[in-house]
Amino acid sequence: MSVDQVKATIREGINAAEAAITILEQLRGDIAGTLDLARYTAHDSRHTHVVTGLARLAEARRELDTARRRLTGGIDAARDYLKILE
Amino acid sequence: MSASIADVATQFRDVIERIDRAAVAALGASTDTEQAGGLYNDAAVGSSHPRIRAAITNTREGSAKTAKVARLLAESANAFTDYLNAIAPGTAPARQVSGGSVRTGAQIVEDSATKSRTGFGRFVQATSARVDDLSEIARNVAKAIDPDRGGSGTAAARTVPVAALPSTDVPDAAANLVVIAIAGAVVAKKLAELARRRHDNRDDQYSEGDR
Repeated sequence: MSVDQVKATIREGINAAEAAITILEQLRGDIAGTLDLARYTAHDSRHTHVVTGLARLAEARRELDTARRRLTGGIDAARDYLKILE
Repeated sequence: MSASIADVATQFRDVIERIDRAAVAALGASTDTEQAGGLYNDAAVGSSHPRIRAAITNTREGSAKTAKVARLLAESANAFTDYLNAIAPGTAPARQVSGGSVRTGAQIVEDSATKSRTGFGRFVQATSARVDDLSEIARNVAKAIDPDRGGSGTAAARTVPVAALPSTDVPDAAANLVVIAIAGAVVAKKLAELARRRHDNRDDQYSEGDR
């Protein structure tokens, strides 16, 4: 693979990672809103399914933030490498 | 049914449908992250430079977390569906794909592309050429659910029927689908059920924190 091909491949990777981040950012608001609605709807239910549903939803929101940070870190590193190649 | 229970049931249906949609979008993001990691890896051949290695490592971790988000969302929707069935039997969303048959991944991709104004559309365009069934998405979710699956015989055997879900061998599951939920959510749901069964035997599964 030539240097130009390597650079093009990395740029393509960055584009894919950015597409994922775009989705995750949209999802972040969606999940937060849904969590609010679910908590409101559940009221003070202690039913095991409700507790589980809320816990999984809240965990999804936390994990989403971690995913976004990792992907952003990956993009930053990939851009650094592109500069090194130039 | 009292009015209040009916109201609660209606709102829970809304919650479940929202979570289902989010799960499908998360699966889309997960596919993008896999692609990004693969491309970085391709570009890194012959190089051990720390920055390209960091790009690969971070992206793989981000990919695993994204798949985990999809799995958690599917589990959440399942739990609320169970609750709805408990308090108001028969009112859970008809998680039914329109037309009475589960659509293929290609149809999902096509439909989503025309509707989407978000990044999901970009995912759809980026992957439409190579996703002609749900097996790839199913594999992503399977990995998220069962990260220690090292290709062992039993685990692999479990995922096979899941990947084949869009066929007609699961009429009960088909009756449980949502119009919007798209076959991807079906796969996520089925896999989440598998995960839940595993969870019953392994209480530590959800206690893992971010490293």
